Amino acid sequence: MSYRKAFIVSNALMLAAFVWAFAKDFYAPWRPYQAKYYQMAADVMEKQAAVEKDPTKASNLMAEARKMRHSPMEIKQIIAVDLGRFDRCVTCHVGMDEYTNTTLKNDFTENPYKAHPKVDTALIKAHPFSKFGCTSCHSGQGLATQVEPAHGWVKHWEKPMLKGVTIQGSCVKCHDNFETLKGAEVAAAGKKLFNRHGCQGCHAINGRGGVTSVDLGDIADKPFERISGYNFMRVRIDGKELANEHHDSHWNIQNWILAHLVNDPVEVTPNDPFAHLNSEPISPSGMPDFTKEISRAEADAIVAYLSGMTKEEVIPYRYHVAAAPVKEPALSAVAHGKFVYAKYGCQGCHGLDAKQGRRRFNGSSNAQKPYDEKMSETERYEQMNIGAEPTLPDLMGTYTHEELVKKIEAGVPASDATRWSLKGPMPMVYMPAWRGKISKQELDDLATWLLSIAKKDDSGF
Amino acid sequence: MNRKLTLILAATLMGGAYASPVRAVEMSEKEKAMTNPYPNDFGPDTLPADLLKTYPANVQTGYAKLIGAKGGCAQCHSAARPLNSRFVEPEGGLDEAKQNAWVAKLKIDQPELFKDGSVWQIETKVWSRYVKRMMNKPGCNLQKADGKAIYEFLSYDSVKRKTGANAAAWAVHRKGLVEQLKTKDPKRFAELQEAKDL
Repeated sequence: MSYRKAFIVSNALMLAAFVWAFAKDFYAPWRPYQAKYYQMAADVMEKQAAVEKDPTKASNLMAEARKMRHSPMEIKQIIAVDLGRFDRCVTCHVGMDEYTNTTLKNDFTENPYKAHPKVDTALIKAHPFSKFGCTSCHSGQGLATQVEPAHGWVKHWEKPMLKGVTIQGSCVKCHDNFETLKGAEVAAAGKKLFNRHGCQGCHAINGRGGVTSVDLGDIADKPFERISGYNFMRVRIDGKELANEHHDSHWNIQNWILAHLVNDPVEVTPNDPFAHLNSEPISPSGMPDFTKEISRAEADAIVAYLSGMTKEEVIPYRYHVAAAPVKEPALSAVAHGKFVYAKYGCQGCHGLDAKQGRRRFNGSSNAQKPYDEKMSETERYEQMNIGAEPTLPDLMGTYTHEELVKKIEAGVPASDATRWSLKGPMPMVYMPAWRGKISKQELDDLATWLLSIAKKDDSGF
Repeated sequence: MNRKLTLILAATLMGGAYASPVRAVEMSEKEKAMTNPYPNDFGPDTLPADLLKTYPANVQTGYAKLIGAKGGCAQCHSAARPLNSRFVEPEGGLDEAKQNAWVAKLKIDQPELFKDGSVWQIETKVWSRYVKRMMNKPGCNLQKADGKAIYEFLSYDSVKRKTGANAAAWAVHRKGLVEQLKTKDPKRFAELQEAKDL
């Protein structure tokens, strides 16, 4: 091909690229929404003008309607400088754009046209859009201008839009006082449930709590690379499998947390207890099965609370609201001991009020059959799966106060605890050493309470 | 030729990599116990037959259960651990007041027994608590009657061999065991010393 021909062809290609780019922009998916909003808003103004008795007002309304109808199509965005947010959500949700809809109110009922449903509340008044943008509360991908990407329902966008009560997790990010904050009741309930069921016994939050499992202080930032896709495929929410689409709207951190509360965690993270794929057997998740203890609504509340656990988002200190210090109740030694048991999450392993030790995969328990090499893998799995943490009232009568204090201080490493199958995996959970984490008074009172719940001795010696 | 050789080598390496995973050595509970030994574990795991003959019949039954019962103590540790223990449960049966009275008398008669906690730990109902605690370990198949018999042996034996006329011989024996731990496993010795568990 001669240079001349090559020049002509490349010019034609460039022209085609320009045409394609213009066409793509012309048919951008946000345009019809914006156009329809302008029409709808103009129609409303014209109707108002038609019934307006004051001719000046009617004329102004008609002028406004004309202006609205001929408004330019444009990408609109809120730049929330402090929070580093550039949110183009108002490009489609024009009713929430304070430049187009100065009152931020309208009578439209459908998205994306309707105004923010809470525009009149103290919540929105305290969080003006111009300062907070949209995604600092709702999450999603603020820069995107197509439906799926903007809501974060696409591959590789790890913070999709928060749905339902989960949005209260956003309150937790800034409001250290969220437990007493109006509008954050679900997240507050989530924290209470988290502590009530003893999650903090294994999962610290920003260093406060047990060290047996991961610190959840940044769980909302957990990258999906650290969650195997196969594990997502095992998740059942309301009895249904999640759609098998990598990183789509269902494969998100909220569903990952929820999965641990509405499924038995050993099903979600089965690992390799018989060393089929690894040189060593690896226990399934050490997390207890909470499905019979925690309702779906309660699980949602815990998810809402944990959704606020982020360190990735840099929030200026002046946006934080401190909480008043919480005073511990003045209680008798026994009552305080029970309080301490719950405060440090002992119930996470030893059960609510220490009534029943929870599962400890491949730990020993009296409910198990003796280990038998001839057992099938299924039978062995069943036996390992009923391994349990000690049920404390059975044991407490065999300790003195001093011995008990020592035991709690020292903990029990996983390697020291008995295993049902020596060929099976090392249990994931163990008793951490509480020395230095729990005050002397708390420890004494905890031991006092534990001794008070000892089962009546009927051994005859 | 080179290609063939490369393929053979690659196949051999892959096969080796597949077959090579080595499982960690599995330790029984007993072996595990010995990785964290107590001075007790260095002593004998049986009693001399002529001494045993002098014990009442029910106490001898308890001894037999201690060293022999399947699914019992021997699952997790040898009989040396209780037999060479520093624990002494006072005389007085299950009556705590009588046990306390015995201790009070012993404090007058043999005050030296209260000076070295690594040789004598004289404590009310100490064997009762320990036997029950061990029986509560998952997988322990001892019945209550077995536990009671073992308890009766341990409490009787602890008084018989560790106090009275036998106290001096016991002190020599026990101190020798502590010394053995100190020599053979100084780290563990220091650990137990720090935990006041010697």
